[in-house]
Amino acid sequence: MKPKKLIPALLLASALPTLATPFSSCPDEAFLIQDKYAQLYGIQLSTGFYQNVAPTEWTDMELNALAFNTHDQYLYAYNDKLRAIVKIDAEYRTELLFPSDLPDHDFIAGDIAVAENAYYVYRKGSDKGLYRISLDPTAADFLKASQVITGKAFELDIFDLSFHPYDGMAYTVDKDGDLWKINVATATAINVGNTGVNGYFGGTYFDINGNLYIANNSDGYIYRIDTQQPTPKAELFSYGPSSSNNDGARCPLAPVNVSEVPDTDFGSAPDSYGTSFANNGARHGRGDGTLYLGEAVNYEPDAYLEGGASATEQNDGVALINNIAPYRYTYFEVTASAKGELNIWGDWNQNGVFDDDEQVISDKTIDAGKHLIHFKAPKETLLGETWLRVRLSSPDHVTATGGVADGEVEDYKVTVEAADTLTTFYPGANRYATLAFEDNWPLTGDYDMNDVVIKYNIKTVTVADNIASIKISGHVAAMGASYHNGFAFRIPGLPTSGINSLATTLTVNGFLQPYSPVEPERRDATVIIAQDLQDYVTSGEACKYYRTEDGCGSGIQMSFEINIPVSGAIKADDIDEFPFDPFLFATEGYERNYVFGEAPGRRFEIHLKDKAPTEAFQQNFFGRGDDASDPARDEYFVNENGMPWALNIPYDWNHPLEYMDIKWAYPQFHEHVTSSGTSNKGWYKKSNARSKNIFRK
Amino acid sequence: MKTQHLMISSLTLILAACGGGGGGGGEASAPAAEQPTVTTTVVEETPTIPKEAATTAELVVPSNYNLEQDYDLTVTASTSSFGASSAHLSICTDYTEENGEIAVDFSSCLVKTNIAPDVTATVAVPGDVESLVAVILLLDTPAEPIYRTRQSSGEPAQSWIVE
Repeated sequence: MKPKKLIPALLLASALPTLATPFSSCPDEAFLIQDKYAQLYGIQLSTGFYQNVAPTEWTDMELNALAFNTHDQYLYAYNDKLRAIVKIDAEYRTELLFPSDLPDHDFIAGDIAVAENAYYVYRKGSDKGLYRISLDPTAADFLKASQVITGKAFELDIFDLSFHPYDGMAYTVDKDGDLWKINVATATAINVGNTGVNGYFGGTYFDINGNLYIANNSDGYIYRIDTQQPTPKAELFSYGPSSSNNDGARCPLAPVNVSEVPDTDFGSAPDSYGTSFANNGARHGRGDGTLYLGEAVNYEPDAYLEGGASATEQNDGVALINNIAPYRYTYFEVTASAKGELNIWGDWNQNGVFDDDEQVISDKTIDAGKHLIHFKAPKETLLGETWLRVRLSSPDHVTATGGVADGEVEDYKVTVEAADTLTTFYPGANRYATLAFEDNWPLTGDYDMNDVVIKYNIKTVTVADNIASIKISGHVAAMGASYHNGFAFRIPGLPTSGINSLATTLTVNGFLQPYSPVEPERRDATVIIAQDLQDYVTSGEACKYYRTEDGCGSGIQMSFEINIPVSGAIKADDIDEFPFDPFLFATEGYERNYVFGEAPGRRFEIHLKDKAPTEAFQQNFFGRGDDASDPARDEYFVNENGMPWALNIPYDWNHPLEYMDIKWAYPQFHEHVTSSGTSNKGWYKKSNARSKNIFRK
Repeated sequence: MKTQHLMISSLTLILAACGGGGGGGGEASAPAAEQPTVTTTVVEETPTIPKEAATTAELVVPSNYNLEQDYDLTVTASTSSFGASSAHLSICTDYTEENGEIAVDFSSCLVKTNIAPDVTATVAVPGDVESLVAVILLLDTPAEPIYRTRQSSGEPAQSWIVE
C-alpha cells in the first residue's frame, strides 16, 4: 500500500468543520513546515525548541509557502500536489481553497501581508514569478491570482519571505546572504546588503520589533537580523531542526520572548512515567553546570516525548553490557562528569510507571569518570521491551519524578530477555552498515555509488538455537538519482510460512504503518520497506538530489524499523549470513532505461553481487544491457568485468559526491578489488577517503 | 516537494546524456571536485603488470571475489573455563588497551549471549577489524569482567575458543 493513495480520504477526514477555530490571538510561537509529506512543527525561536504539532494524517500533505494571516488568525500554505491553498485552523484541521489564474507550478516562498489580506507566493523562473492572491472573502478578486512581477525580471534564490510588521515591505535573505526588501505594491526590490551568512533559508519570521529571523535548512541554525539597522547583520540566535524543505510562518505582531532560555533537563520516556513538566516529570536544573551523565547535557523548555519531534537527548551516560534478564546481574557502564548520587529505576512489571519498589540502584555515590556497576532485576520481571530511568544529582533521596536542582536524567528503552538468548548484531550493537546502489542496472552507471544509499543495522535474537526475532533498522542516507525505487530485504533460509506476517511491523519515521510489510507470494521471507523511496525523501530546494551534493545536507527524511517475530522452529544456522539479501526493485508505473519496453515494476530487481533475485524477477532481463549474469553458475547482477551494481560495507560509510567515481573518493578501492579483497581491507574507512570527494554531514 | 515534476522532466535529459538515470545528469562528465589526471605509462620491461583501471567502469574483478567486506568467525565458550555456573559473553571490535587496562566500546559488539553452560555463535567481522575482544561477566556473583583478546589472522573461516 502506498501512503500517497490515502490522500483524498485523509483530507476529508481532517477538513475544516463549518465552525473552524482560528488561533485565539497572535501566537508568539513560530511554525515550520518540513519534509516531503509535510510535518508541521511549532518552534520557539528563542530556544530552537520544536514539537510536531500536526496530526499524523498530515504525513500525506505536500505543503510549502506557509503563512500566518493576521486578518483572520489562520495559517495558510500552498499544497504543491493539489495546486490548492490550504487553510489551517488552531486545531490543525484543514480546508482546501482553489485559486484561479495561478500558473501550474510549485511555489516555495510565501507570506500574507499585514497591510492587506492578500497572500503572496513566489518562485523564480521566466514562466513563474511573484503572485498576489486575495484572501478577503468580501473582495471582488477573492482567490483570484494576479502576477505582480515575472520570475525573470525578479530572479532571486530565496526559499521564504516575510512581511514586516509595520513598514509594509516583504523581506527575505537569498542564498548568498543578501537581505532583500520587496515592495509588492510597486513590484520593486532593494538589496539592503549582505548579512554575513549564506545558505538556504527556508524559514523566515518577523517579530513586532522588526527583527527578521532566518532558519538555515541544512543545519537548522536560526539567525536574527535587525532590519532597522542601516547595515543589518545576522547573529546566531538558536538551534532549530534541519531539513531540505523548510517553510516558516509566524504572526509578525508578536514579540519573541528571549527570557525563555531553557535551563532544565527532562527525560524522554512516555509521559505515563512522569516525564513532561505538566506531569511533574523528572527534571534537573542547570545547577553550577558541572554535574551530568556522559559527555554533555541538553536543556529543554519541556520534555521531547517519545513519538513526538525527533529527540535531541544526550543519552550517553549509561551503556548496558549484558542483557537484562530476570534475577540475573546486569552490568552497565556509567559515566559521570563529577561526584553525584546515582539512582536507577526499571519498569519491571511493564505497567507504565516506575513503582517505588522497582528501584534497582539507590543513592550510589559515584565520582567523576567511568564506572562498571551492576544491578539485579527482580525475579518477577516480565520479558519484552520496557523503560529504564537513570538520574544523577547532588541531592540524594531523589524519586523517579519531580525536579532536582542539578544533574541529569536519561531514559532508556530496554529489552528484558530470557536467560538463554543469544543476540547477534550487524555490523555492531549500535553501528550502521551501508548499502550503496547504482540503480542504472542493467546499464553501467557512473559508479558514484550514491544512487540509493541506505544505512542499516540488523539484530537477531536466538533462543535455544532457534531464531526468535529479527530487527532491521536504518535510514535512507542519500538518493543521487531520479529513478523510482522500492527497497526490501529478503531473508534467505527463513520461509515466509515461518514468520508471523501479521505481527511483523514496519515503522517509518516513528509511525507504525497500518499494514504488514511482508510480501505474501515469496518463498523466503521478504519485507518491503518502501514501494517508492521517493514517497519519503526529496532533494529539496536548490538541490538536484537528496544528500549527494555539497551544501545539500538535509536532515534524514526517512528512517525505518522492521520487526519480524519468527514463530516456527527455524534454526539460526539455516538462515543466510548477514546482511541477508537487501535489494532494490522498480516502483510500479515508472519507466526505467531503454532496455525495457515498458515500466518493469516489481519484475525489476538489483541485488548484491551473486545474490539470486526473488521469484518476482523476470529472468529474461538477465543479459540485457551491460548485465553479464549467468544463473547457471550462480553469478548474478554483475557486468562482464565482474563488477556489481551494489556494495555492502560493514561501516557507516561516507558515500562519494554526485558524479564522483568511487575510485577518486576511495583511492584504495581498486587495489582492494584487484587483490581479491586481500589488501587494503579498510579501504572504506573515512581515514582512507579523499575527504573533498565524499559527502560529509 | 517541488522536485518531483522537475525530476520527471529531467529524466529525458538524463537518458539522452548517459543512457540511464543512475545519478547521471546533463553535466555528468564534470566531476564535482578535482579528479587527478591519470597517465598510463606502458612499461615495456614488465608487460604483465595489469594496467590500472582509469575508472571503475573499467575495473576487472577477479573471478573468485564477490566483494564481501566481512568474514565469518565462529566463537565458542564454556562457563567451566571461568569457574562459574552462569556467565555472559560479548565479542566486540573496538577497545583500547593501556597499561594492561582494557576499555571496551560496547556499541561495537557483534554478539551478546549468556553462556550456560556453553555457547557457539557465528559472527560477521568487518574486514578492516584487526583485533577482537571477548568480555566475560559472571552473572550469579558480581565480579570484575574477564577480558580475552585476539588478533585477526586475516584468513577466512576462522574459529575462536574463548577460554
